Amino acid sequence: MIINKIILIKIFLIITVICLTQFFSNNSNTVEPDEILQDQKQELRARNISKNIRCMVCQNQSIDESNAPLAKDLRILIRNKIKKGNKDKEIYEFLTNRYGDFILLKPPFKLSTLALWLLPLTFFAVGVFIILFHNKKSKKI
Amino acid sequence: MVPFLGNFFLWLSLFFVIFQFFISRKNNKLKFITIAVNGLLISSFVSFFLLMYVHIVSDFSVLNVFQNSHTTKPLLYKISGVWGNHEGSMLLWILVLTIFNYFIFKLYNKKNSTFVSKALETQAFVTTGFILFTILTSNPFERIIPTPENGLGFNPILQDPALVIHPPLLYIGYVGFSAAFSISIATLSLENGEKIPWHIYMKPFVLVAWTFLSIGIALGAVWAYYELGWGGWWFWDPVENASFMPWLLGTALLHSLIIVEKRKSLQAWVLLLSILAFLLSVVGTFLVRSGILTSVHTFALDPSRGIYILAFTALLGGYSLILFGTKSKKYFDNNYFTFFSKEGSILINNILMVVVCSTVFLGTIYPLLVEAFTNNKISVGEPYYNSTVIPIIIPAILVMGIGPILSWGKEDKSKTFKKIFPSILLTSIMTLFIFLIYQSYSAVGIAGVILSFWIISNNLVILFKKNTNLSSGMIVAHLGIGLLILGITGSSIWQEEKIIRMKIDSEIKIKKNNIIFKKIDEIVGPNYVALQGNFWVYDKKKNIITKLKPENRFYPITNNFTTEASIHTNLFRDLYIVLGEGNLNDGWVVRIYYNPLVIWIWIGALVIFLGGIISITSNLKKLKSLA
Repeated sequence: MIINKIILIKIFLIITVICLTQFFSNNSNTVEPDEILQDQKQELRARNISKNIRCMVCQNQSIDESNAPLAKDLRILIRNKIKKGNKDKEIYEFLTNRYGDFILLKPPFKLSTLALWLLPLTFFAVGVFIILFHNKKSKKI
Repeated sequence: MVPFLGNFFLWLSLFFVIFQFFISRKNNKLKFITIAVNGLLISSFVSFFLLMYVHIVSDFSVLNVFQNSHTTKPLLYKISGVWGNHEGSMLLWILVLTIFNYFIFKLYNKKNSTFVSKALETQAFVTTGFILFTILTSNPFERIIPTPENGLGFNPILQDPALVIHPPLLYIGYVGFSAAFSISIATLSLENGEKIPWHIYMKPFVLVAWTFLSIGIALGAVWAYYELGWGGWWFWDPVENASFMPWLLGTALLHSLIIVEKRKSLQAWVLLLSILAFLLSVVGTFLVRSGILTSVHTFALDPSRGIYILAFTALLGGYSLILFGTKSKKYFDNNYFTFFSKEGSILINNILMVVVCSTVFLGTIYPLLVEAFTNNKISVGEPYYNSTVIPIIIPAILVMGIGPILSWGKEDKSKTFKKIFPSILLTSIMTLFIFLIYQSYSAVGIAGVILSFWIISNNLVILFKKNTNLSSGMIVAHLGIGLLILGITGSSIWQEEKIIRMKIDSEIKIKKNNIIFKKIDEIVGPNYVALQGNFWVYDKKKNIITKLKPENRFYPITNNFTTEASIHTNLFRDLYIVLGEGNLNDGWVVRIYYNPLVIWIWIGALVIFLGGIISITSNLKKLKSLA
C-alpha cells in the first residue's frame, strides 16, 4: 500500500512538472529561438546591446542572460527597433529615457559618474608615478 | 537538549575569548593562556558540531534548521546546510577564527612571548566581536515553539557539491588574514617590534589565506558554471567582488613579504597591507550580509546586522590605522628600486594589484554612493569592469612573466634580453600553434593567448634551468596563472552558441559535432522530479562521442525550478547543453554552448592551489628553524 502511495505521488509530481513547464516558460533561460532575427548581423547587434542592458527585476544580470518576462519583452523591443532601422545609439537613448541610467550595465560618463570613470585612471597614474619615482631615485644611489 | 548545549558552548566560547583577551594582556601567564586558547577552540568546535548534529537529525525545534532544512534533503546537503545560511556560516567563521587563534598560540616560545601574547590579545578582540555579533543578532540555536512538522526546505540551486566546500575554503581565506592582521598589530604595538622576525611569522598565515581564498573563489566559479546554466562562470557580482578584493591585496602582500625577507625593505607597506586585507574581508562580509548590495548570493536581509558589522569594522579600522599612523615610522626606509630588478617587478605587481583592488572597490560601492547622494540610480556591471580592470591587469601579467628571472638589485639590460629570449621564442611558437587550431582572431584573443604563453614559457624555461634557487611553489603557482589565463581567454573569445527549438530525432551541428535529440524522459530524484533530455553527440566520422542528459528539475518542497546543464569536457573544449521549455509537438528549446578551453580554468586554479600548498610547507620549515 505504502509503495503504491509513493508511486501515485511520483506520478502526480511528474504530471505537475510537465504542466508547469508548459505554462511557465521561465524555467528556460536567456534568448529564445523565436526571438532570434533572420539577419545575422542584426541579431549580433541585438545580442551586443542586450549584454549591456540590465534586467530591471533581476539582481545582477543582463537581459541577455535573464529569464524574466520583462527581460524577454526588452529583447524583443530591441530587435523590433533594429528591424525598423534604428541605430544602436538611438536604442540606448530610448531605453535610458524610459528606465533611467539604472538600465545600463556600463554607466554613462556624466557628472555623477565622473569619479567612477576617472578614479581608476588616477589610481593608475599615481601607481606609474611611484614606479617611475623609484626607478629615478634608484639610479642616484 | 542538544540545541541548549550548543547555545551553552557558544556562550562558553565567549567566556574563554574574553578571558584570553584579558589574560594575554598580562604576559607570562602561559598556563592561563593555554587554558583560554584550548578552551576557546574546544567550545567553538563543540558548538559548531552540535549545530551540525541538529541539522543532520532535522531537529525542527531550532529555527535555523526549520528555515533551511527538510527531511528529504540528502545527508551531504544537510551537513552543508549548516553553513549555507547566515547564522550557521557565522559559527563556521568563528570556528576558523579560533583555529587560527590556536596556530598563533603555537608560535609561542620563551623568546617571543610578549609578541605572541600581543597577537593573541588582538585575535581575541576580533573573535569577541564576531561571537558577540552571532549571539546578539544571529544566534543559530534560536528555538521555535511549537516544533514544526517539517522544515521549509532550502534553495535547490545550492544543492551542488562545489558549493558544499566553497564556503569553508573561502572562510579559511578571509579569516586567515585575521592572523596576519593580529601579527601586524602586535608588531606595531611593541616598542621593539622591528627586532622580531614578524614577517616569518606572518608569511605562512598569508600563504594559507591566499591559497584557500584562491581555490574557494575558483569553486564558486565552478558552481556558477555548472549550476546557473548559461555557460558563464564569473559575473562581477558584488559577492564575487567581496572575495576578489582580499585576494588581490593578499597577492600583493604575498609578494611584498618576499622583499621584506630578502631586502628588509617595504616593511611599513607590508604592515599596512596586512591590516587592509583583513579589513576588506570584514567589509566584504558586511556588504554581503547587510543586504545593502542585493545580489544572487545574498542570504540575509537584516539592517541591524549590517550596522553592527559596520560599527565593528569602523572600530577595528580606526584603531589599526591610527596605530599604523603613529607607530609605523621606524618601518619606513629609503630603498628605491629600478625597473630591471626583482624587487622592481614586485613593486610593480604590488601597485597594479592595489590599483585593480581600488577599482573593483569603487565599482562595487559606487551605486550605493550615487543612490545616497543623488536621486539617480546606476548599475555598475560587467562592461565597466572589463573596460577598467583588464587594461590594468595586462601590464601586471607582462611583468609577472619576467619578474622571477630578474636578479635582486640591478640587472644588466642586455643580459635580461638574453634571459628572456628563449621564452619569447617559445611564446611565439605556441601562439602560432594555437591560432592554427582555433583560427579565430580578435585583438583581445591574441593578447590573452600571448600573455598566457608568456607566463607558461617563462616558467618552463626556469624549470629547465634547474640551478636557480627560486621557490618551486612560486613556479607552480605562476604556471597555474598562465593556464588560467589561457582558459579564460579561450572560453570568452571563442565561445559559440546555438539556441534552437528541437524536436525528437532532429539534428543540429555545432563546430564539428553533430548532436541528435534522441528522447526525453521523466525522472525522479531524492527531492525533485525532472524532465531529462537525451542528446547523442557524434563527431565528423559519425562516431559517437558522448550522450548528454540535461535536466529541468522541479523541487516541489520549495516550489522552484532549476536547470541542470549537461557538459562533455575534454582538453580542448566543453560541450554544454541546457534544456529549456517545450513540448512534444513544437519541440523543446535547446541551448548548446561550445566553450573552448574551459577546463584549463579549473586546471589552472588547481595548479595555483598546489603551488600555494608547496609554498606553505617550505615556509613552515623556515618557521621551525626559527624556534
